[in-house]
Amino acid sequence: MNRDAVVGLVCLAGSVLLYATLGHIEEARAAVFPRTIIVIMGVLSALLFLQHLIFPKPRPQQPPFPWLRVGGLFVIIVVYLLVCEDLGFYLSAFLFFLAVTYIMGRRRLNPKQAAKWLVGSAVFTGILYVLFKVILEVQTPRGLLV
Amino acid sequence: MLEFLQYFPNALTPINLLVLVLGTIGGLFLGATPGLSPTMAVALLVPFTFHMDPATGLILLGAVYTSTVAGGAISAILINIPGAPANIATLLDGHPMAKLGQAQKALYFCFISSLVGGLFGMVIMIFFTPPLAEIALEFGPSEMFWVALFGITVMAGLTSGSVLKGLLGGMFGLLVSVIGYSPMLGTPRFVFLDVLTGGVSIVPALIGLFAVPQVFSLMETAFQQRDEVSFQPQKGILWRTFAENLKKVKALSIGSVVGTIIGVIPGAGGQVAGLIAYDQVRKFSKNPRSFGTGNPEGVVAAESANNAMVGPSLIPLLTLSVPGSPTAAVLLGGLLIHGLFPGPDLFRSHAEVTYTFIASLVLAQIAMCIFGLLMSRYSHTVMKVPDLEMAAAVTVLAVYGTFSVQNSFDDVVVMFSLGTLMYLGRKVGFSAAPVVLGIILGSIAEDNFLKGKLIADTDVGVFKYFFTGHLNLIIIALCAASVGYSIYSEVRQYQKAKAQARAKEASS
Repeated sequence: MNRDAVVGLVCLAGSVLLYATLGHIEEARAAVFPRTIIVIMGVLSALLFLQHLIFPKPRPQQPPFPWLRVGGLFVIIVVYLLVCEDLGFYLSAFLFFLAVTYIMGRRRLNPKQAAKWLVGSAVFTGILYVLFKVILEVQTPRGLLV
Repeated sequence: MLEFLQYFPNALTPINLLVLVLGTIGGLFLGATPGLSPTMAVALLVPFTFHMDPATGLILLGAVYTSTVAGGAISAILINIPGAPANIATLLDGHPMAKLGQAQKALYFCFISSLVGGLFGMVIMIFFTPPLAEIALEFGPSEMFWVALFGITVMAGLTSGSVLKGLLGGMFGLLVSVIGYSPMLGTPRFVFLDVLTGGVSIVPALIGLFAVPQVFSLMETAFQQRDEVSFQPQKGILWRTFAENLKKVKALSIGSVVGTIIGVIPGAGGQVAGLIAYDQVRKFSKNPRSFGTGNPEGVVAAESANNAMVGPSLIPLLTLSVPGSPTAAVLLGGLLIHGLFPGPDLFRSHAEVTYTFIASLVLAQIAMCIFGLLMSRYSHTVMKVPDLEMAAAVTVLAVYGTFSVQNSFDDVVVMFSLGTLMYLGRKVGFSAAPVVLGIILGSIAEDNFLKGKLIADTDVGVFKYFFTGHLNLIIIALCAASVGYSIYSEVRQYQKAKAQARAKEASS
């Protein structure tokens, strides 16, 4: 089946699921607007499904998707968000910057390069610290250090 | 006009000028960086404006908006990648000029033309916005409800390749806007997780929808080769290029007028303005074959058009809450979080903030040109910022920006979840702009829908209240026209693609 027809089906299923949850809204008047939107979404999804079933569009050739790189970044960001509140904004930002440039950059470890990454990450974190803590004096997630 | 002149000096205070200059330089830099869109740049900066007074905050956003559009031409010219969609037409002749060894000249053309177009658009905006805002006084709940839907239909139709996907995105945005406690009735809706109790605020949504997909996209293209040209700075060509540029009256006029007209049309944006202006200048040219091979008129037309669009794109935004471009939609979020609601009130109760903002946009055009010209000699170094470092920096700024709204990590979780969902959505053809507009306009649509329903129930009935009256009918007709036009465009594109496929099959 055409990819966009599948997208239509997924959206339709999502609309049906959301419609089923409307029963949990205690006040009927509060459900009027969301119900109207969900019904419209359902109709649009069905139309999308039918459109691409009847008139399938030719798809241009795409280069292979870099799953490892994008998936790797996703994992690093999730870990960063998980530890951000415990380590604090600045320390976690330093480690995150280091992780993205080193792991995702697939660079070889040698003393000169390692010093470069460390200095780069430290400069970046230092700029953040001066900007947010010293100049703007705003609150950031607190943790082990600041 | 008198009010504009009265409040103009407010934009010249030292702090406002400093913010304007920093915003312009930052905007040029962000615009020139491939992979960072103006919309994302403005979205990332919205949280920084919390700590400023409203006028200064809006000056920052306006300066970044103006200069990112022009800055996007740098990467279009030097590496054949438009810094923003608005610069697509620029690369058609800008990059060939760079290949011919005229990169610096092309950049000068770009900033001078942007200034001319930008100032033209601002003049139109200054004259037309206040009287149009007065018309909004006639609008009651039913008209405001339809206006909110109109905003979504135009954005839905023009920013995605598929009108159905655009509308679905807009509806999804409306649905996201109702998450949390109903403001009128106090009932919880769609609060499946604790993090959703407070609903989805505008800033986390803006940052998530625009910044997170961009971060993943940067990772996709991180190791790709770019079509870079060698850049040799030349001395003493500025004033010669300036004079040459101003002599290209036809290209400048067509670009400025087309950009202004397209800017006023909600949802169209700089991309459409640049391409139409380029096409028109080519059609009126005595030598149309020279376009695409490094004709400066192509750069002049495209750049004057995409910056002429900036001011007029704010006319429907400041009068009716209907943004003229995706970046203007983010600016709408910036206005709302400072308690400024579009309409006549903006020009009466908040006249000082509004006119100072408008005055700063005029100054931003001038600053963009001055700093753009200064940066031109060194712009090739901007291209060297590695994608990985940029992706890491944007992610950290997105986390800070989201957290700073309410000092809540829940918002960060919502931001990242929405962003990841949007990235997946982009992969199957959905666009962020209608979703954002749905979230921003959702509360306006629902409030006015419920208010209108209350009035209608005690008066003439729901159908008569919402579907009669000349203003209602005009706005409904505009909604239908925008959807109809989008369907027509899609059908034409489908037929064209099919014909091309058939021709390809026949030739092979």
